[in-house]
Amino acid sequence: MNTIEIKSLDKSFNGEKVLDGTHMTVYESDIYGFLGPNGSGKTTTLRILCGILHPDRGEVSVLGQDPSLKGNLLRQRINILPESHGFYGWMRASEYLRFFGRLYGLNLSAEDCRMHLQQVGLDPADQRLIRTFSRGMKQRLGIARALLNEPEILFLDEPTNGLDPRGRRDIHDLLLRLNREKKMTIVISTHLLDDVERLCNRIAILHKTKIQYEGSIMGQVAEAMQINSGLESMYLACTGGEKQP
Amino acid sequence: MSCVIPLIYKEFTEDFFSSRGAAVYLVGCGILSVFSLLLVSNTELSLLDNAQAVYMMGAIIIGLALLIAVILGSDGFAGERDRETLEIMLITPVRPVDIAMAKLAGIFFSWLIVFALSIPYLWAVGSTGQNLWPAFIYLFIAGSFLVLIFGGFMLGLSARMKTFKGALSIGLTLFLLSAGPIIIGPSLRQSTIGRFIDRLNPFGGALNMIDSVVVDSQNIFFQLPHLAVLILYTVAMFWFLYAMTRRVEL
Repeated sequence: MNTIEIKSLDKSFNGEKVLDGTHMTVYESDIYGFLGPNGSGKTTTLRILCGILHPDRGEVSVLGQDPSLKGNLLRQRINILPESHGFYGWMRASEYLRFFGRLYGLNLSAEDCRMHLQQVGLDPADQRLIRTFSRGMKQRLGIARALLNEPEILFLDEPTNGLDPRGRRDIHDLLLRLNREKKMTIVISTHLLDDVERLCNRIAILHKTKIQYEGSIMGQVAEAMQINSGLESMYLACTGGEKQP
Repeated sequence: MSCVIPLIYKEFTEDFFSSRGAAVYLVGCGILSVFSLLLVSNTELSLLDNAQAVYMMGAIIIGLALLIAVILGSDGFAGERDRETLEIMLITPVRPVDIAMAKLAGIFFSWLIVFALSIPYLWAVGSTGQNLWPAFIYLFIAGSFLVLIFGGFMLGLSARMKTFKGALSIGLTLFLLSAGPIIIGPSLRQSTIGRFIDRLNPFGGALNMIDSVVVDSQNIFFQLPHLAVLILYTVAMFWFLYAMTRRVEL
């Protein structure tokens, strides 16, 4: 079943096209890697899928609904970790989760907050002010917030930014567990090909306003992996870097 | 509605329990102290009729409250956009209109604080004269309308502005334009253009109402035209705020 479907999506900013006839299909329980160079329109696509940006043209369907029209209802069922997620530095970690929980209609107890923080390894810092957090700690807190409403689809924009190798591995394990146990569909926009290779079963490569490649990472890319350095070679070929041998 | 309450709590905490909030109200108290001291101790100003002094103090209190409302309104959406916190608010199921209403409630609370802080100053200036109680009542009514009008319009504008600085400069320009009744002086206000501006200007309407109650001791029937202007602007503000925040993009 298609969880996300995009057809002929166009979006411009100040007359400059960011997306031009983009298409994309994400199936239920996919971990979908969304790759592309800086400024290729990945974040714009994610914002359109969440209904906080509106497309100029094209069809967008998320869980069978149009995010432009039913954004509020849809956002009860999805969540996103944006790339630049500002924090309210004057809040404590548990207060932050309780505040956002209430926006989703959840009345989180101190124990619930601790449990949410525990799954991203932040429970020892639950009473600390967010402004004292390191970048990696903020990233973990952002992930905990994004998981509050147990979303059916989780969008992650550069989820392992600022995390140390151990933190990255913990987040990888958490995402794989959520996908396996809760059948959560996960869309990851990232530059880190290691993340994609470890997590994703399908990918799309966005370059020059268009999807250059969409498909299974296990099929076509596996073939490339045997020939050269795998996904990196594929990515560079699609985005105008080195040619795939 | 249930999601608006935590938003109001957030606005309230951000505005009142932060160092920024404390600094704003401390500066506000300083300004009120200076003016009330001048009105009771300065040789020339202390010769003013007591009712006139109360009216002047009322105008200063309203001016201060409006300045705070303009700053908070400009900061509403544009400031969150600057601090990159707007996106995480917009990705929740809360409608932008609800976020705007919570922010407007926060601005209104700021007026309640300013009003509470101003009571001893107004008392110090007007306790020996007449019409002090009507001054309190009409100051509260006029201030409430004006803070909602200015705060709401600025919130609507800031929803479409990219930066706090841009929104604030427009807000301060509007504030100075509408403060015209104080700046242009009594003789100009009596001219045809002055009277026309006074009738259309909500700030002018509010000050005329306080003047009419405190200085001229006129009853509520004389205040109805001024109140009508304020109510009309309040209705227009709610319409404008809804139109501007129905769809907020980053």
